[in-house]
Amino acid sequence: MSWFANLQTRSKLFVGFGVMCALLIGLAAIAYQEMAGMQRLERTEVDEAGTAKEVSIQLRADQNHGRASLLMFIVVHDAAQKAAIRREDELRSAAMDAAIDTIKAFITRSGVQNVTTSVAEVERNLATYREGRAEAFRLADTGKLDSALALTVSPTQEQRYERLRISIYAVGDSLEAHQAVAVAQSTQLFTNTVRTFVAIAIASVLFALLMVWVMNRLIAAPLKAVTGIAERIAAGDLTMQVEAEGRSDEVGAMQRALRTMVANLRASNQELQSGFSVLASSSTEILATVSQVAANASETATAVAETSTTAEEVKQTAHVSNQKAKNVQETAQKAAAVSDAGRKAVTETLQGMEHIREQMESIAESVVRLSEQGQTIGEIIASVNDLAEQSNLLAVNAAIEATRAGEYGKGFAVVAQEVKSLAEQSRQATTQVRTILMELQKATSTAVMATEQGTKAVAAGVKQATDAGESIRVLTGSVSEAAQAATQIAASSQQQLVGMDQIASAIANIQQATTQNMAGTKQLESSAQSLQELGARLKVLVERQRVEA
Amino acid sequence: MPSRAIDWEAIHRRLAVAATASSEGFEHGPDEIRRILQARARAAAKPPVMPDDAERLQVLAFSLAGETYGVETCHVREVCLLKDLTGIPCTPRFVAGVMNLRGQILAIVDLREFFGLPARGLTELNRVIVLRGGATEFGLLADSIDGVRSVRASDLQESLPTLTGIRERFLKGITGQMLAVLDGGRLLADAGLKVNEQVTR
Repeated sequence: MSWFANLQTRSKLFVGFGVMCALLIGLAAIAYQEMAGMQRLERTEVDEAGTAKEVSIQLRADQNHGRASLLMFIVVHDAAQKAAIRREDELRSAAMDAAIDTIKAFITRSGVQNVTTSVAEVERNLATYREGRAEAFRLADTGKLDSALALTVSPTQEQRYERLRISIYAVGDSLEAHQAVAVAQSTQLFTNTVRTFVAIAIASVLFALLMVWVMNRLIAAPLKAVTGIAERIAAGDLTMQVEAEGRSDEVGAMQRALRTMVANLRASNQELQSGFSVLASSSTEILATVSQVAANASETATAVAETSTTAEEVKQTAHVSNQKAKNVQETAQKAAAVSDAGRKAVTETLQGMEHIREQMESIAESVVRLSEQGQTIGEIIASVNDLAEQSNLLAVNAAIEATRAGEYGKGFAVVAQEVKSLAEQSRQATTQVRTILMELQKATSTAVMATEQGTKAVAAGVKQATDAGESIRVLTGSVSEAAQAATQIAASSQQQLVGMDQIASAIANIQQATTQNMAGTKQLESSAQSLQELGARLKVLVERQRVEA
Repeated sequence: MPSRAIDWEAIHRRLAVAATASSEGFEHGPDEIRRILQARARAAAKPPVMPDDAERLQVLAFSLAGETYGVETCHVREVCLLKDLTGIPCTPRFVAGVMNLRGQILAIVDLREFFGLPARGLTELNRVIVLRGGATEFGLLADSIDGVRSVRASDLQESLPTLTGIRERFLKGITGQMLAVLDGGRLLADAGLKVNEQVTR
């Protein structure tokens, strides 16, 4: 019955009431059919059969008439009468044909079986009879009345006539039998119809009961179940499972929808719960962050205040540096003048050095001359010493001779001694002179060395003076550069001042913005607080819904 | 740069003094010369103060290798400067060489080698004491001649224990002033000084 269960309710109702209607309609149809059948029977089987029977009777009559007319045709000699008889016979033949056609039509319509052969027999017989009749008529027409008559009464024709009559009678009987059968059938049909009505009525009642039960099970019960579930959902219990029978009708759709709804509710509830948890935590975080931002904002405010103070200080410093730069400029100019003087002094120093060098050279020359003359003196002294030594030796020899002379040599010995002492004195003097000469030599060499040193010193001094001059020049350059730099510094410190003013105003703006920031942060803090409370409340609210069984 | 200031004034004064001294002090005026010479003559004319009549030796004192030696003047012919000492090969070490003294070829003896003294210190060795004894004449190398001294014979002490060896033979005695008086006679007569070598090929 799943296919039925899967139908739409509309369709189910259609089916149910439809079946009922169908039964009803079937009943009606059957009734109609039965009635119609009965009517048909009445008409065709009974009336038409009667009509057919009558027609067959008429056929017999016509046959008879025909026979009679043929005889009359043969008998009568009046052409006009003949013609009239012929005409009447033709009409009768036509009527017979029409009657046969009517019977055939009736047979065809009613479907009577066994009459067909009879009718065919009739037709055959009629055809053969009519052959004879036609022959007879022709003979009659041609005046061969005897032959015509002979033909007409011939046993063959009579046989044919008899056969025809029998067949027509047969047909009539068949039709009558048929009619009786039809009547019996009609009665039978009526009885059947009544029985059928009763059966159908019982079946309808049963089916109605069945439909009621089915509908109840298929529609009312699930609806009740769904209602129960909905009530539980309303009460806040989302733990139940909704069974969906997988029906594709509205109830199945409703069950599925309900299941989806419950699942969605559950999911959304869980999401809500998690969302609210997130909300709670996020609002806590926001609160924390906002508090931090507030703290940072206050820190920023203090930093900004410090920065503005610093900017003021920098401005002061820029002023000072400007002043200092101007001072440096003046000092640089003075230094330039001083370096000029220094350069002049250096030039004079160089000249002095040159002078000194010349003096040193002249001193050196004098000293060298002195040294040479000292050498000459040394040579002289050496010769004097030599003389002294020789005198000494001479004195010694004299003394020796004096000793050899004995008494007479004593005076000579004295003289010799005197000479020796003189020689000794002169030697001592020469020794002294030599000593002095040596000292002189030392002194002169010292002097020469000193002069050399002095010259070197002078050269060094010249170099130093030149270096000093160079340094002074470089210094002048540096000082002028410093002066230029000082000018630039002054300019840049001026710009610095302007910049500082801008910074100060910008800092004032920042301060203002920070103050606003702080106010906004306070508001934010309170909003975060309320958000947090809201989140907590919502969480409590959501947790009332039982999601986990 | 020396920090002391140069006293040019003082230097100039000293130079002036030296100049006057050099210009005036060298040459004496004739009066000055006469005066000096007369003083000297008077000094020289004084009779010599004779010491006591002790026996005295006239000794020519000379120094050799840091020591003072003496030799009696009776053995000394003269003293002179060493000049053109020519070494003679195949002679003993104490023979320093020969010298041309006014045309006379004189053998020079190095007492240090003769006495076997260790050479110590620098010596000038430019004096020659010409010893003469009979036919023998030779010269002694000496650093310097101290002059003729009069030495009392009683001052001469016998040789010290430290003076040993060959010198002991030739030593006459030592005075209190460490003057080692050599016996010139023994030196002159010594056969060891005679060199008589023949070079054999």
